[in-house]
Amino acid sequence: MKIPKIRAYVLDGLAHAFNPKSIAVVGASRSSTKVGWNIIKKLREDGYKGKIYPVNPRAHPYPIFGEKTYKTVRDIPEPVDLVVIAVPFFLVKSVMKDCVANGAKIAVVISSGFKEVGAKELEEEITNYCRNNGFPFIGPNLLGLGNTHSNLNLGFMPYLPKKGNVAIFSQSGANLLAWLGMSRTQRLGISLFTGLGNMADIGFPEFIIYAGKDKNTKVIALYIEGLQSKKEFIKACQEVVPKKPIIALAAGSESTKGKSAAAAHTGSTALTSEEYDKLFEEAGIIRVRTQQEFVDVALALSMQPLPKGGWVFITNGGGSGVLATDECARRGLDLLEIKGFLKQQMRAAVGPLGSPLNPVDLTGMATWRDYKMAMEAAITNPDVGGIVVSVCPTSITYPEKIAVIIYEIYKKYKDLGKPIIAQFQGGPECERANNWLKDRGIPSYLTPEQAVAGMAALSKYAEIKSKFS
Amino acid sequence: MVDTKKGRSEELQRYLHNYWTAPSVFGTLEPFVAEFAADPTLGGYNIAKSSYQTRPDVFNLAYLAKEVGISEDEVEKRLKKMIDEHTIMLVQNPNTYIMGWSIYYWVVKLREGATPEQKEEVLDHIQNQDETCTAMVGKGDFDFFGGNHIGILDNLINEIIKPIEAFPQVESVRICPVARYLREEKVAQWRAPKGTTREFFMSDEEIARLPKVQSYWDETDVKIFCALNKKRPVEDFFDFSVLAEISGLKAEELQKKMKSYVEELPIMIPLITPNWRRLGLTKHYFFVRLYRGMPTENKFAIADALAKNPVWETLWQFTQASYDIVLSAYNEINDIDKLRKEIRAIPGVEEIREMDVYRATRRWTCRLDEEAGYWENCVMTNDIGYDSADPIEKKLYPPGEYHLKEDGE
Repeated sequence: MKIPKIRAYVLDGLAHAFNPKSIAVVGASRSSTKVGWNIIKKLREDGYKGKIYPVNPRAHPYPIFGEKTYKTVRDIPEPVDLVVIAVPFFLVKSVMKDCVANGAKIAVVISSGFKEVGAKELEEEITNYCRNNGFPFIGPNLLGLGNTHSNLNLGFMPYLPKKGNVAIFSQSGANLLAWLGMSRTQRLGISLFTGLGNMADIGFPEFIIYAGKDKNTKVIALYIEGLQSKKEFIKACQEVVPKKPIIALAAGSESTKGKSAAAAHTGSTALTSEEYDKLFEEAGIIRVRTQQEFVDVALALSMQPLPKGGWVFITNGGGSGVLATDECARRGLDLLEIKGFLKQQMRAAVGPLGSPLNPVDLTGMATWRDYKMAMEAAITNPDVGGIVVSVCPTSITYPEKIAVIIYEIYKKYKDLGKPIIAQFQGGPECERANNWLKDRGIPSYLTPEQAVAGMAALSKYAEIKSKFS
Repeated sequence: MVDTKKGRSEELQRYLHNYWTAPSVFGTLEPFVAEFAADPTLGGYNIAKSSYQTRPDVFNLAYLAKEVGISEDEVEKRLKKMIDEHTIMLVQNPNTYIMGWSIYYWVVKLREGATPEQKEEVLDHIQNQDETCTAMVGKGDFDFFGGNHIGILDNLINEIIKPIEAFPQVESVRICPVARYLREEKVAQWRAPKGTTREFFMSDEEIARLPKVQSYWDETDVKIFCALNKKRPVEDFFDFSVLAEISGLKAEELQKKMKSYVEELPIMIPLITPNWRRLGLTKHYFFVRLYRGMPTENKFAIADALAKNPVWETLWQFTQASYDIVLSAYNEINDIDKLRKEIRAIPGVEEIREMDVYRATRRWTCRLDEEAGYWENCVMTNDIGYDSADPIEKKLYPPGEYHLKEDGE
């Protein structure tokens, strides 16, 4: 439902949701096949140290996971920070009344069966009741939420993602799960994450404002199927983007079939692609188009500083350079024209058969020493804003050695504040090199297009920051 | 009686219509099931089932007060006590004849000399099997009596029977497919004699004795229990305004659906089951074998005659089993010897096996083993869509984690 303005009690509730000292699990179960059992299991397994109150009138008085059970939230002797509701939809209204009676701070409603299946009236009735009582809730119909910095894994997620600084707010549980998994395999560090479900009460604007203030969050990433309070959304983004970049994947916008799919999924009304373009421009959002680009762009923004000039693309493979150039063209991005002293330095690095132009082609004969020379020349040049280092593994190019060189140069010239992006294309040795660098704060990708996406996002955010500051 | 000499087709058809007892398995999307299966509240039943533990007023207190002759407040107070002390539980019986599965009971006999520890070992296995709906422990001719919802017979054999048989201390497992549900927990079921379905049976003697053999219920509580189970319109069973208040759904719609499920189709029987263990009761089961050659209609007639006696707590007819009829009665409030004599006196009874049940670990798909910290922990499972004979499915079953191996399988 729409909100007229950002609500202070909701922001307070979100602070409790992401850092709860106590959690009541309504629908807690003693059966391992039930959601309510798994919620408590995951909380404990992933290291949540706070108090847990299992709530289930059928389980009372028998303990669950060694914790005393309660018949209702109302019966818990102290106000609970966070109530997670995993009971059938027809019990949610009653549970909300218990939450209000308990003085709980916020609820997460995992239960489905509301607007997404046509029960809009019931969803609104519950929302109005909660709003009238100043009790915020996330959902319904969502996957869960988490905070890697407080070891909080609450809901259906199989594990906590890699700890980091990207906050993900997603209207899709399935896509959120994908990104949580990819965070491990592709080394994307996540701070906060939540599925938003039907956004009956709390929507994007308040999550954005909250994440904007969260000390562990550097980048905000959104998966959107529909927006309810557009004005508040734009306002919230405009408030946050001078300090933190916001990226968004808007789904269901490319066709009427996509729109229908979004409506069936979360009961949302998707905008057209053009409408999203316009809205994101106004809000200062960086738009991404695919699940993978979401990760690629978040990686770059979360790890590297912003460029203060043009980019240099250094490679030992002409083909990767050509693909990178094409991708730059598609994204309306120009590579820096290399000239003067830098051109002379590059000529020395590339040898007689290479190209000192941008992309700089070191040729397949390049060794780690050639890379070192070219990278140092580029990064120390005042005209260069940032560099992308692309590596194709030949029998004399050892990717893992080059990864070490990239890292050494990154450390050596960190004080210059220039972004470095790497790209190793090939087999397992390249994957190892990519992950090794990402673990050390350097975004590193498998394809040149991904590297350009990361580079473009950093450039775009530099523009946004300057526009909105 | 049918004149078999005539052999007329019409007569044969009528005979089959009346006495056909093969286990019936239909799909879950039969026209009469689809609406029921697609309704998550089951006409409000599920709201009551998940709320009555804290809201006894989901039951129609006005009706109960009038029936018992006490105030509504007093009814509510007493109900709360009964619920809090786990002496009653709200359950429903779906019409098993059209739900897509049948109920297969089984009785287990341990070898002579089996130790209590060996019995406990089998009990642990049965108790922890989520596929099992009902599991009772006893002594006498059998040691365990349980049942499952089954759509595919292979699954019963592979997943339930074989693992029990694999215990060396187990002498035999006999399968008892239910052909006719006449009575369960004192309430007449789907194939009770015509017109009696949902009727509650309890003899005057039982009603008089029950308050005297335990300390949880007094005479008024017994009256409440009887009133709770008395056959009546659904609006007298539940208070739909309370169900609406809890859920936010509309009372009229819930009531309309419930009426359709319970009174019109019918496809559901809500009832209140007593926690007989908590009340200090035990059950005596009679497994009755009739002469093999006895015509089906005679077996039906015997079962129908037995159904006239209100003392029976359970009364089912089996088909294609070693036993034709099973009956039970509470030991503490009945004269079991007298009942035994009555059964023996029925012409055609070939053999009676008996079992005293002193513990139920599962019933109505719920774990009830309070010793292990379980009460009303419902785990409704069935085998629909699962083929235990398929090597792939067998490998991936039961639900839960599965990890691919690096080399080979």
